[in-house]
Amino acid sequence: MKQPCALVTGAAGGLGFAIARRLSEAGYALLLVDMNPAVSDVAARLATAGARFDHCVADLSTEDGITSVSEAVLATCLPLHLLVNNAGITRDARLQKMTSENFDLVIEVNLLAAMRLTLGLASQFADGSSVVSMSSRAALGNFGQANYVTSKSGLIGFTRALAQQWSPRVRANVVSPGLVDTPMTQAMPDDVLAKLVQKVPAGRIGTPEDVANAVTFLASEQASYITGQVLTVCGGRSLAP
Amino acid sequence: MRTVIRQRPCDSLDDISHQLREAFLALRQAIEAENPVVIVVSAPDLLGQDSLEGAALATGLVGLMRAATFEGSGKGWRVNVLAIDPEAEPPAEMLDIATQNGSLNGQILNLGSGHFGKIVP
Repeated sequence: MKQPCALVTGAAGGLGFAIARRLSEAGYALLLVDMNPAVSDVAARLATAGARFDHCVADLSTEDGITSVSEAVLATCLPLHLLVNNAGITRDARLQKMTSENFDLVIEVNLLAAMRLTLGLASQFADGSSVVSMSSRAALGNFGQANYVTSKSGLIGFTRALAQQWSPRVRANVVSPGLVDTPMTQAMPDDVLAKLVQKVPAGRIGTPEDVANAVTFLASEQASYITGQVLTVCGGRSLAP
Repeated sequence: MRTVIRQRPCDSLDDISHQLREAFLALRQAIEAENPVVIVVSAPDLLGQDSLEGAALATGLVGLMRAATFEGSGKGWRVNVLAIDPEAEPPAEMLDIATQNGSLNGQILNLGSGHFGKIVP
């Protein structure tokens, strides 16, 4: 049987790397996409006996970028069994200080680029394939992130509509990570991070592997009756006071 | 005074960007003027029951409301979402409730007729 193929955007980042590695372990061939040329190094690091990795450097906020990815899919990843919309950026500022340029940019990269890519690849999905988009627990609200919260919340609506319009051929779901051990959280002062972890009922910070496991589950046959849903991977933080 | 921001029909990615930016700027202006804000969205779009673009826009607007509430509830900012059927007009009494009830903040008031038995947006 032919190896299923998954496309992961934002693959040069810590979370993208963990997702790609976990999907490889689950048997996927991978097409790794990022605007950062370092994605080629990531592909090389992940390459192991029997696994197949290709990569594509592309800016998903441009039509040229979408065309490049589409051509890469045609060349290396057809039919597509899984798209993971993981690429994202932050440009944090208090709402009254946030520029409209930074508001637009985050909406473009986090929301519109994911929509553009998903819709651009519509004809290339295999029957029974799925789309998993990365939102964030911050979609429920967060300080200084009006642009980010709006974009990640918008992805949830897009996914709900996509799930209904593309069923039964393609499933669509969202993973919403909470506090996760990434370069962004590692850059926080220790006391600030410790206070945030204290608010997590699970009593620890999440790992990129926690998130990668959720993505892999939603993509799997075990989740074949799940579509249009949000899986929040936050150690219970979205419920706690 | 209150500020009412209303989702319009949306059929392109450019329009999503345009309407979200408009809402962001209107929200900020309202906050500076210390006006309470109601964002009126399409209830079916919250559940993804209409267009892809409309759904992304409606839930994006909910996110904007939540971000503003998270950031400004301690400063007295008041922002709520009123979800209604697309052809309906927002009832004046609901706009009053959404802007005048002191403890109502950061909430979705759903008047849509099709949300029973569905997920909470």
